[in-house]
Amino acid sequence: MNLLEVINLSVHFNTYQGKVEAIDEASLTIKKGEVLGLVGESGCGKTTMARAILGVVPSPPGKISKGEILFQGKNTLLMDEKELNLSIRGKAITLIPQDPLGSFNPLFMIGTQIKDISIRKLKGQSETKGAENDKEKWKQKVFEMLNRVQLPSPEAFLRKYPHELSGGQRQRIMIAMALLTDPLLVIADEPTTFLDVTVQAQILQILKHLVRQEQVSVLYITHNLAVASKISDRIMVMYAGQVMESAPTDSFFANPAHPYTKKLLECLPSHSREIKGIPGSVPSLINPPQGCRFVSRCDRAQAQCSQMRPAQVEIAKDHWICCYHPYIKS
Amino acid sequence: MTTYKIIFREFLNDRLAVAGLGIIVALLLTAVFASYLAPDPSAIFDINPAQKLMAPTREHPFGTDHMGRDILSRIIFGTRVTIVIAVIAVGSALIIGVPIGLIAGYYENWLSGFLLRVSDIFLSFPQFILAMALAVALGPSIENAILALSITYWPWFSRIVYAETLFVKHSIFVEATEALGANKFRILAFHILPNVLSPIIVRATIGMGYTILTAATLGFLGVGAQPPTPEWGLAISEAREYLPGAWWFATFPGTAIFVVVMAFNMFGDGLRDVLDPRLRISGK
Amino acid sequence: MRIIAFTCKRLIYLVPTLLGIVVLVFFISHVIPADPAALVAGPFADQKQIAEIRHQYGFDRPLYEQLWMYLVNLIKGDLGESLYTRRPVAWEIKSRFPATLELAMVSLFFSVLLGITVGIYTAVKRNQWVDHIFRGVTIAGLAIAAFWMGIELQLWLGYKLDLFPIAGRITGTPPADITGLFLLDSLLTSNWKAFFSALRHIILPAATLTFSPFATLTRFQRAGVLNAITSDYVRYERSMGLPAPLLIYKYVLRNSLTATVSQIGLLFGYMLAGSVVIERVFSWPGLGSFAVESILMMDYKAVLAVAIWAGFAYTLGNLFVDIMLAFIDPRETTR
Repeated sequence: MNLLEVINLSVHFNTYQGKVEAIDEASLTIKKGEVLGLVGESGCGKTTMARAILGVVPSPPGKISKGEILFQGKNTLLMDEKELNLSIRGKAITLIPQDPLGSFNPLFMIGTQIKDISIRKLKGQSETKGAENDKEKWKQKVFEMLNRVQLPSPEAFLRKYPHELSGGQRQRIMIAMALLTDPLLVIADEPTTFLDVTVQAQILQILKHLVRQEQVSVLYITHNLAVASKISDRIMVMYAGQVMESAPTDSFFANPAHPYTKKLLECLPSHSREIKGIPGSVPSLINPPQGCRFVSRCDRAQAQCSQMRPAQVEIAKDHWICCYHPYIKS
Repeated sequence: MTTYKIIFREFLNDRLAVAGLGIIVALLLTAVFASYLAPDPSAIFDINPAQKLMAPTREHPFGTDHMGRDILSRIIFGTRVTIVIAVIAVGSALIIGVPIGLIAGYYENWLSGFLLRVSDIFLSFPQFILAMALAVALGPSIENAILALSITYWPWFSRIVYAETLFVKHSIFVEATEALGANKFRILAFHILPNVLSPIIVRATIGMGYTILTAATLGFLGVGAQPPTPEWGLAISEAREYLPGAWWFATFPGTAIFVVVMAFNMFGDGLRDVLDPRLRISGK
Repeated sequence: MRIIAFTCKRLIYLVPTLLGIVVLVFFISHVIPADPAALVAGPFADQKQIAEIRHQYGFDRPLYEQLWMYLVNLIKGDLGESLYTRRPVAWEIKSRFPATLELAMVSLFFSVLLGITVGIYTAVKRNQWVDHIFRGVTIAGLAIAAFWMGIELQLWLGYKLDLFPIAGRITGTPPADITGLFLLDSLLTSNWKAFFSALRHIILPAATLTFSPFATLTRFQRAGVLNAITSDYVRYERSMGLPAPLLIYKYVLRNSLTATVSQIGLLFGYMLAGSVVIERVFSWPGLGSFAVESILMMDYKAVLAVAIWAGFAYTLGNLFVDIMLAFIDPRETTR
């Protein structure tokens, strides 16, 4: 059984300007111990996907109109707040957010926040009774985790405030918090975007290492293909709220089949080529085009592409594509 | 849809704000056409002792005051006084405060430090107390009240503009313009100013309401408008002697103040809700 | 520890500010009027009287000398003599201060209590009819002229319905003078008659003085709560399963208070300014009415002293608020 299965999910938002169709019948699966890299431009729906999985899509403007999200076989969309809070959020599924500064509460010490988020999840796991013992065990675990993300002298950190730390330090604490409760799935939402390039590499290393050690599954969201390639077992590409292609990493880079993917790879800077871009721009998600949304910028588009969405087709082992005219290597 | 169209649409959605705007327009029209609207245009200066302190009737819908003058007409003419005071006071505070804020924020040298210190000292007083003290020192009159109001209000504008300028100064497009060698005045006037505009507009609108209140209070204390000017605050202080009998004398002018200030507040609120993130091209 | 350092730093900055206040007031009172002596002498004095006053008050001396004399006297505690009552101004201020303090404290207390409570409530019930009603109330609160509200309350609740007295602090003998605050003193001496009388007398003026600050605080608190609820950190805390009660009562609450607490400083200023007119309307024997009387009488020394006192009180009040803010928000100490 797959750890996570998102089946035909559709999410839209009602705004002043109109109805924004943020996600259109997207599906994805993550197996136990697998790292899935979810790649796409800004606004393609990746963050909304993460929120939907955690059940935190803001509900007045947003609505999940279709689909199922099966976590360990159970549909999370049918769970109530209490159950989600108790067993899913912060426990079975954790989050490493994009902006570590914004995601920490500026008025409270780091230690307080770590404690409030993790301690009740750990309580269930300890075998001995007694609050003192629980607290001690928790403290040990936190120190151990902080050490593993390469933050020496963890006690000092616990007493600091978020604005007193550097971006890299904050993100490492976020990673520690995400792994503290022995989760099954970690959602990393562009964790290195707000960091300097040098720090980025470091954080990525730490994350990769820990993920292998703990054997957690990861949904790694990023707009950077290069970063995705370094950490993912599989890569999935989204565009304008639709899934375009998903494949194991090697297969993805070796035989990119979707026209969008191909163009994306060509955009990566390289010695041998001129810098290229993709002409055109992302269509508006209000009254989006019917059918495949990449139509306006695709070289291989034909009439049928605008009429109906291509269904998901397996073109090679585990290599899926949503396209009527993919590039297929023979 | 262009930004301005979206702003306009969103603004129209805020019914209170639109109502506020409506009242302000009505106020302006009343001031302009006062002579035609007032049932008794002679009420400003003609004293009519025979008719003093009459309760509201068909002929005098708001009653008469202690000099026998029709209160409704005096209120209508009072709109002119109110508008003049508010516009001149806030306008001059703007003209003084905005450039000072721009300069203080853009140049970080001794001049800006000095300007900031000066405005801080002004701000270390409640504005009303300072205005009152100034009005007294200058001599009680409506002109001096306006002067006192504008002198004590400009630091509020320069403070806001200073903070915003600091922020905008470091944004990419300003640095780019500097790199291209544009002269300082151009940068301040055409690049920085448009971006700090929205908080200024909001503050000015709410400032109108606030200034009207303060002016009325000064009039009430006797250090602002002097008799026989039909200023609303002054009318209320004149009315005090005749309470509780002539309740209309104090109630109607006070209601006028209330309605007008409320209109400016609602409008200013609506502006703030709608303008805040939009006009900031700096991308915050 | 950092709070102590922060406080010390602010106290040091206090000195030039207080000095600036004195200079500003001095400037207004001595430099701006064309002839301060004529101002003090009044419209009916003749040249001889004006010249006398000019000499007596030292207006014929060079400006810097006048300023210096004033500062020296200020430090000595000598604020001059009231033209009108012929008593030392310092004494007048001291004897009238408790009345204003009591009124301001009661008003501040209720505006903060009600403002924060209603602010949180309307944030939680966002856009429902309760929220709209209070939005109307707060808009009215910010638009209504305090002196007019006081007069109308006097008129309808005082005169017409005779529910509350319309003037003064108390009917009958005041309680024993321990703090000068009638409510407190009567409680301390179990003087119930005095307590209820003082209570009845303070309700109308306090209600008037409370209304506008209550409106401001409610709006800021509501905005603060909504801001906190939609922030990135609350979203993160929610995503990580923080239980709702903990989230709201510990985290959101503190975050929502920062904007509100910083407003309280400005409210000090409002209390100072508002007390001037409200004390006049309700014949409340405090510093506010003293200020108005002094102004109308051109009681020079008194006006000077009261203006300086107002500036000092406002600055100190703001400092106090800033320190409180530093307790809540650790980022304040690094600014």
